[in-house]
Amino acid sequence: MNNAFLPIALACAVALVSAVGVILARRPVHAVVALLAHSLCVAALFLIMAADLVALGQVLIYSGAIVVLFLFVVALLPHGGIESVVPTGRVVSAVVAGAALLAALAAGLAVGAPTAPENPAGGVEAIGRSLFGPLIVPFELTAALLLVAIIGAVAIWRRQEPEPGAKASSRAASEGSLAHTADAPGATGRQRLLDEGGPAR
Amino acid sequence: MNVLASIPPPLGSVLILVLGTLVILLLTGRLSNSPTILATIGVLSLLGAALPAMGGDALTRVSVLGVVAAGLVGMLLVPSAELHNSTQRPEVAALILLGSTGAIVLATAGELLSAALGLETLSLSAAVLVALGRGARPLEAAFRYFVLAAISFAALVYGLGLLLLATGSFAWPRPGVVDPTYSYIWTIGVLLIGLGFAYKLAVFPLLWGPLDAYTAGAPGLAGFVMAASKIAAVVALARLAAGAAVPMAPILIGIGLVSIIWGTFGALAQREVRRMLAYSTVANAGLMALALGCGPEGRAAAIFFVVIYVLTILLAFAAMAGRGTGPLPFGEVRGEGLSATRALGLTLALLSLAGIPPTPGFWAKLAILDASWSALGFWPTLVAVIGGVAGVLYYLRPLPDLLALTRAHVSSAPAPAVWFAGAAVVVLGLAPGFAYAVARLAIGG
Repeated sequence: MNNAFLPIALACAVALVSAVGVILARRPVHAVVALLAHSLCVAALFLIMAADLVALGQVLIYSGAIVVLFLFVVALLPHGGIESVVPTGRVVSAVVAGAALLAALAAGLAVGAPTAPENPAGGVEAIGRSLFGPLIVPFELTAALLLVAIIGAVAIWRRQEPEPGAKASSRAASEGSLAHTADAPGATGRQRLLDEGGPAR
Repeated sequence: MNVLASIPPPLGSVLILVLGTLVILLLTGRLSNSPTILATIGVLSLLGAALPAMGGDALTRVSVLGVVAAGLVGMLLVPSAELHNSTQRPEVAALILLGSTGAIVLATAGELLSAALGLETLSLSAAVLVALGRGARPLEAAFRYFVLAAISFAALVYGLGLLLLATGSFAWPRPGVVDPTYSYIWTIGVLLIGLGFAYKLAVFPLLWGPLDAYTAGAPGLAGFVMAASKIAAVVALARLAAGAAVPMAPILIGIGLVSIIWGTFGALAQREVRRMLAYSTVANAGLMALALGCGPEGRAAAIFFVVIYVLTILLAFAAMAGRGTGPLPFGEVRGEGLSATRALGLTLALLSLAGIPPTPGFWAKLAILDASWSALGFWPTLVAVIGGVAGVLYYLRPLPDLLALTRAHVSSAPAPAVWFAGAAVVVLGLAPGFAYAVARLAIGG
């Protein structure tokens, strides 16, 4: 058992707990915050495994960009932006967590910046060489996979959109209020598409 | 240097399919009102994709042609597909092309990382294709399919990691390359990868997602999902079993036998045609898994079986397309108003699935039983035979009603998909020896 065991076990445990939290959280905000904790834990795991670049990408792209995007979306939900009165316990725990984070950063700076390994396995050059060398075919094939994901997400969202000839109100009434709120922007977007492609009809 | 000549044949097919997808996506606004032009573009892309593969080896040719046939039937059914939102036909056509891309990549990939990406592309398109069917049930079925596909894909990725750890590369496993110290890790890795591939085949432990997807989706699209998945999964499992017979063969035989029993009892208990076909597909997947565990002869038999099975099931789904996504109870087949062409197509498909002699399904089952007999002996073959005989009991239940329908005069829209799949089944029934020779060539036996 080497000295990386405890950090790995800790990061794995928190990652598992936060992943379960994403699924079980009743409010979307809690799910997104749990997702943030999860992605930071995964970044820590990458860091322990000496894949610095991947860890950095995980923090920048997942924790930084994607989770914040989720938070914006949650804030735009009908009741997502409304915050109840903040209890004192939450303020205290936030202050403790912030202080702990500061202490950890200060301790890290006091120890000194870690020296880069001589020949990093997960460095930019190594990753670039494998992505555009032996792994070029799978790398390019991810394009098709991402295309499917985009088409799928848009198609499932557009699924409940009223058809041009149908009455929006009757369809929405049969599918409940959630569909109704989702329909409103969809209908206008679809109408705009139809107007642009007008002569084709 | 000629760049185009240096592209391997399957990648040429992939490029053409993705180009076709992009054309459809760019013209979505115009094509949503002209389904015939849409289907034409899709059919041309699929036919174009078959061309570069003809320069590859026999296994590439068989798998690409099988997937292209599945895509063609699905594409011909796009204009009449029962969608929740009928303006979504361009998306459906694009997903059929991308799903075919994934299936081709999974079946022909040179290393496992590409195969995994192909599998995920196929799974994701399949889930969305099922979800776009009419009503609320397809959405639920698609979600279940998607979650189970995600779990099996996670197993596949773990397997890839373990295999990379043991061998240092993503190459297809081969006997004798692994250090004995790592053979334990290598075995677990191979088994997890096999689990990921087996989900697409819908064998015993992983059958709930596919079962719902085949039952609830729009028939034409469910037929495509089933057909493309089965071909790609059988070819991928055949390549895996060829290189790693030691952990794979006994497990394939075991889950094959359990699937045959499970699928047969499940199909016998059903009261409607679509659910019965879905359960019987588990029994047939069991036959294929059994054959895949029986050495080179068995793998050739499995490829021969899957080509025939897939064309037959496509014919059955094409014949049922256009009547809605709901169930088709045995007692009400007569009142469904199927046209004579469709009733005849469904009859032919059911006869072939049951394995009645002049139809190709008979030769397919015979090949598998032959391979199982020579490799495994009496008892496993007896289970397979009983599964095959029980098939007659459930497949032929709607037959009297269908025969009555072939004499009725119900006019309906032309059904090119039924004609195409029907012609393929008839040709295979006339020349089964040729197909079997191709399958043996493909497996190198």
